[in-house]
Amino acid sequence: MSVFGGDSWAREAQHRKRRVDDLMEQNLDKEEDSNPSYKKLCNGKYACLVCPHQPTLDSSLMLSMHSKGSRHITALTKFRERELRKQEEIKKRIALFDCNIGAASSDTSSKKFKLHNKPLIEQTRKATSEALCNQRVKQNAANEPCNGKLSRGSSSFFSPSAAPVPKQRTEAPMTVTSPPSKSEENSGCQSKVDYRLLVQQQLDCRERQARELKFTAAGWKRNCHGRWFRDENVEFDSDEEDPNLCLM
Amino acid sequence: MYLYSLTLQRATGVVCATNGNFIGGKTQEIVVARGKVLDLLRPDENGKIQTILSVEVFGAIRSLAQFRLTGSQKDYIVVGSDSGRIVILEYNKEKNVFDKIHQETFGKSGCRRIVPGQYLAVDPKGRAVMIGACEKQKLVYVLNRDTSARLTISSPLEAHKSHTIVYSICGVDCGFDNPIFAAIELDYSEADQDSTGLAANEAQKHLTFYELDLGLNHVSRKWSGPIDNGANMLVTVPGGGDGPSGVLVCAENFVIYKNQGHPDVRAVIPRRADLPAERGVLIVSAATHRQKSMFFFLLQTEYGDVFKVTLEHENERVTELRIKYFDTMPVTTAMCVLKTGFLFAASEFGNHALYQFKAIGDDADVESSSATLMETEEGFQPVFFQPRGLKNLVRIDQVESLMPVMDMKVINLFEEETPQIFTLCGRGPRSSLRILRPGLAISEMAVSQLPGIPSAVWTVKKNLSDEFDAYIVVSFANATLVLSIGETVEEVSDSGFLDTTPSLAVSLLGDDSLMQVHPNGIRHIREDGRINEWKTPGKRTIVKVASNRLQVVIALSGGELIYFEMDMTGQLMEVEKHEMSGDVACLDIAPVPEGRQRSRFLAVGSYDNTIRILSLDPDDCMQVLSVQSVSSPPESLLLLEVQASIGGEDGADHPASVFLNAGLQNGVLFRTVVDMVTGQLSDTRSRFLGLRAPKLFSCLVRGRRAMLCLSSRPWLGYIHQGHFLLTPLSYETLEYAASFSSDQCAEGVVAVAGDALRVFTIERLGETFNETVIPLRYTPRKFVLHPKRKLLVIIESDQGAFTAEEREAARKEFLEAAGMGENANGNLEQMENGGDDEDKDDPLSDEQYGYPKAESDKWVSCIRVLDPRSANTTCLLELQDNEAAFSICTVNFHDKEYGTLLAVGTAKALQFWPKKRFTAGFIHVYRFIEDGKSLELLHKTQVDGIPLALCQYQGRLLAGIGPVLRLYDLGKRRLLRKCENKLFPNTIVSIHTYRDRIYVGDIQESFHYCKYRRDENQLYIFADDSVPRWLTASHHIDFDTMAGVDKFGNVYFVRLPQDVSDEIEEDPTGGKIKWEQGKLNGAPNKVEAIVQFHVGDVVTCLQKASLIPGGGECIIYGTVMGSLGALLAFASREDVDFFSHLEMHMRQEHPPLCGRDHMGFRSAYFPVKDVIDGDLCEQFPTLPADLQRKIADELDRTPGEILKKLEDIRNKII
Repeated sequence: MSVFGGDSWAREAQHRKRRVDDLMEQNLDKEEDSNPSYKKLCNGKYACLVCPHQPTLDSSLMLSMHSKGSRHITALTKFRERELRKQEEIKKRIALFDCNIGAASSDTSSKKFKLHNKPLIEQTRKATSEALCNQRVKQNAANEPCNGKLSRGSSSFFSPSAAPVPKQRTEAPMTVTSPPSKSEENSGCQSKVDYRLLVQQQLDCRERQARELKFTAAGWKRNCHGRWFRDENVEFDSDEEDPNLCLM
Repeated sequence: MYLYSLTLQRATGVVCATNGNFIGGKTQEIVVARGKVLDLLRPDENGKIQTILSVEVFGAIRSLAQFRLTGSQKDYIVVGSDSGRIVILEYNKEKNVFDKIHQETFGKSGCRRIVPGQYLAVDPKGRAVMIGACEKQKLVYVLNRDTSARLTISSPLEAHKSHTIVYSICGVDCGFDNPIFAAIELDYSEADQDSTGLAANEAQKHLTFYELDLGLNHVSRKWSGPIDNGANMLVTVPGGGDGPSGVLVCAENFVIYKNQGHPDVRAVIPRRADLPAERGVLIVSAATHRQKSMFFFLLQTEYGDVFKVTLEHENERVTELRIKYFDTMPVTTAMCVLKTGFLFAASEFGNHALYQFKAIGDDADVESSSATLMETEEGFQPVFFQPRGLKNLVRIDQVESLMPVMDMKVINLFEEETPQIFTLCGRGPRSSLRILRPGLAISEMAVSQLPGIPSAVWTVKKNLSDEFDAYIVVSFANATLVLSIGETVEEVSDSGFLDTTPSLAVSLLGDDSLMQVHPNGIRHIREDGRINEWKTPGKRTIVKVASNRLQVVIALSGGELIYFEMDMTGQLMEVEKHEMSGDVACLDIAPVPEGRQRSRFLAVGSYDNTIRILSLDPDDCMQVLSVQSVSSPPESLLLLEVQASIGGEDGADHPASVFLNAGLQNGVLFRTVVDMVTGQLSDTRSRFLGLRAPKLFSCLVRGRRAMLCLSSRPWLGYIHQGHFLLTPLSYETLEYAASFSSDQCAEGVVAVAGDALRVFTIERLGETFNETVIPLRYTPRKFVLHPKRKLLVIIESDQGAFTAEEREAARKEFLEAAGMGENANGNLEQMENGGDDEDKDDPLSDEQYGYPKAESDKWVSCIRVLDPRSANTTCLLELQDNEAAFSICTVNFHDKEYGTLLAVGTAKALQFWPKKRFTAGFIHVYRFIEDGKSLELLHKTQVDGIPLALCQYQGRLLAGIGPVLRLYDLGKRRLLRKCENKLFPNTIVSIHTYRDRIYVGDIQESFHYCKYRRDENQLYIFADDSVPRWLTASHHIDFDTMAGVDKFGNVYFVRLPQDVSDEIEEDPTGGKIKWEQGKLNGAPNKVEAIVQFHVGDVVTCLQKASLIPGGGECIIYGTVMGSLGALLAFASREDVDFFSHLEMHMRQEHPPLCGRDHMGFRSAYFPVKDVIDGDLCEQFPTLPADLQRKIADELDRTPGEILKKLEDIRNKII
């Protein structure tokens, strides 16, 4: 505060101003308590979050003036409408999901509990896993080299590093060969199988992760293509397993 | 965290010793400094060394000397310590304390280069004392007497010379001329200036005489002459009419007589025939023996050989100096020749010994003389000898010493009630594994089987004035057996005792009649053989009895008490009856006090959990005086009178008081004070003794009444140096006991257990531990426990010694040459040194003579698997090729088939001087075969440093190799290096792991906390200590805390702050630990010191353990000086307040004896933090009573309460 010199009047004025600002802010807060329409920036200025071009305002006084302006009010109503729509949509989807699962999930309560919280994510997962299964059946028939790449790409849905394990592949065709969802009444059975598949996949992922961890701990490293190579500072036994072979 | 520090076993090594006449009179005593403890020892009439007094001085004692004012009968002790003060002590016989006569300050405290304290020399006539520093400063104090014959001390006179190093000083005996002191000095002023090192090579040692002019009160350099540069020690030669005066200069290979204006008389020290040429011979300790007509010196070399040095002289001219081989004994720090014909040898390492002179070396033996000294082109012609068995000395006693404790583990391997402490002690051929058990050692005199299972035993004299017991009476379920004690113990039937019934009590009544109490009556056997029987009324039986010499109380079934007294005619008369409310559980009467007719109190325990004190006074006979309720029905009672004493040889002041002891059925011993007048009970203490209800018996210990408590193990309660000690005995469970006295053992105990009768005596009172010794071959370094098989694996290594094969070959050769080939038992098993086994006809036991010396870069080492139960070595692998083992650990490699493996870190051809170097380092991996009893080498991996620390971690092996921390996995042919971190500052000496954390101790820079990340295969250091500490031992306390000790003797705890720890554990991305910036050239986080305490001794091992069943865990440490200590965490804030106040008052009221400030000592390197010194607090009972009361008042307590508190906290530890 040295800019004001030794006299006190300027400092007091500054305090007063700040006090006014605080009160103004409180006032603004009161208006829209749940989700504030502005943000205080680190330089002390305010940014309006409602208006589409997000104007920056120097002081709270100006912010209050801005928020009384017609442009802001229009933007605000639009914003509110959008929010409302979003809420409705969410509710709708939850309801949809509940009735979808609710019919089938009587047997595993834990599953219900688990999936209840994230309906959308689960739905997406289900969809992708279905898609993947089909894809993999096709790939099985196709030649090997591209397999690694594709599966790695797809695996990113589940975990950053997991690639499908051979075991899973043998299982995947089975689900396909078993009679696919023929009718509506069969949907429960279908989701059960899906779920089991999902859990199985996750388990396999974990197992695979553990094995990979074992190889990293043993001194193997990966290059940018995902190939494993030996760290030159680490010693290996003559008959050590090569992850390039046994993790394929 | 607040800790209470308590020394469990005081230092057992000796730094310096001197002998003299400290008590006054004819006896000779030895004063021994054990680092920070000053002891007064005396050989008793049986030739056993007894400790008369032991005082902790809270400072490092560096030198001791004794002097006597002319015409006086008593010697004074001068102490040079790190206090910057000279202290003169006198032993006070009445109070059994050292009195500080004078304390003169001259410099800063601490062991410094130029502050005197390192050397002490007294004028042989006791007129002056010189105290010297290693460098520059020497001060002389004049000692005199004032008009009332008290000792006075002058202000100091300076005899400083700057730029000189002092090697040794001594007083020169010149009769009553001005006192002269001699010093070996080296002037380094030129060497300091000359950077080429030329002057340093030419530096010359001088012998300088300082004269104290008593008239001018001034010290001057009188004379200085060059001496042999190998000179290291001076010995005063008697003068002033008794001898030629002057000094003996002990130098490398020579002893030289020197005096001012006298030509040098030089003789060569005889060499052992097998000594390598590169090694010299140095004298390390000396003793002088003087009689009226003759004198001689005993000088000991660094190899343990003792030589007798005599001087041929005509008045002041020395014509010949003779050095004759005397005997060989373990290397000593000090030898004391007592006038009574004993030689006390304070060993450098291992047990001390007391020898008796059989001869004074007058027989012919290898001798070198100044007259026959031959100088050839290669120098002087050496004289050779072969060491032989003791000829002039005979060892009559040993004092056990743990010095140095190299490693320690507290484990309950034998599944006893308390854990055992396994310590690796000693050095070279005198090294041993010692198993310490809390408790007194006993020595069993006899064990004999009895025809049935006895229920009780008593001993009884025939006459009060008899010295020894006449009968042992044993009671069975339905019979009584009487054994008479004579030359042999045999059954007799003419004793008058009824043998067809069990007995309840047997005792001497009156002066000469015997009493037997059995369930149906009392049988009184008069001296002339008349028998009086008293029968119980009706069908009631006697259930309990209590009696003393004149009074008998019996309890009948149903709860009736009948009181008998002996009348003038020797008849037992019924005096009073009393009906108790229920059955009586136990009874006791105190013995009749001296000069009284009867004992005043009867204690009665009932099954309603109460103890009553009843009066036996005729005025209010059988009135209840007081009632005490207890937690469980009492099983046994004992009124123990503590005799009034005002100090004396075995105790400090304590007024007469009666303690009521009760053994309760829940195993608790309950002690309370009985008011001598009113019979009121106060000041109760209780202690859990074991799972069985303690039975209490009175016995004699050193002529005083003591208490034997038989619970699941026997305990002894007795008074030692003013403290009441309740200590377990290292013996099996006993049923019943009685004191026993015969001409073979004056103070024994006879006891029954099972179907055997046992007679034993209790030894070495006052000690906390008793030890079992298992000899080892070389200096033990570390040991580990095979977790499943309970076997110990020990690594031992020694520098400058020959391997077992070479030694065996040399020995055979020697024995053949000596014509004793048939005695030689040629197998290697016999190479073990024999421990106590002095008598075996081994002509050259290594323990006595040391190993033959090899070149200093030769190492021998072995790995030993030892079964501690049977003390058998099941496997011993000698390492080949000059390799020495330094680290050891057991390791289970993950998913490998071998199970537990043993990893040993070794170094090949290690050399410390002139520069530390080695050819290679190795990690050996061994497999346990034959149930872990034997080892098989799996493979050996060469590494680029010395592996000084090994540890298992997540199924792999962590090794600290120089400054590198490395993670190894097991390969087929070698260990496979998987990961390493090279960022440690110096050398890794300790590794501990807990969960995924690794705590690494650096030799110079304290602890480093590390983490291993599997996903990156990296080791990260995330925290370290900001204080550089030279770590000697470490222990893991909890997830964030480590305990460590530095080489200056500071115990400290460091802790990672909680928020930092949380942050490190909750680092989901793992990026933080990797990218964080280091601070202060180290890790990004710093640990905080939470506890700091200066022990004052180099701690070599730390362990967390609980020494009592169900007790709290404490940190136990072992030190180089052979002491054991414990640090216990306080459980309540109240206790912390109480003890810190007590410590504060003790500091003020009872400053340490050698003049060091207590607070200064405990904060010698870092300020003491949150540790209370229990050793100081435990000196409270030794204070005078008024001072005790004063301190107690300030603490708002009574002295009794303070004593109880001290006892309580000690009982929590041991």
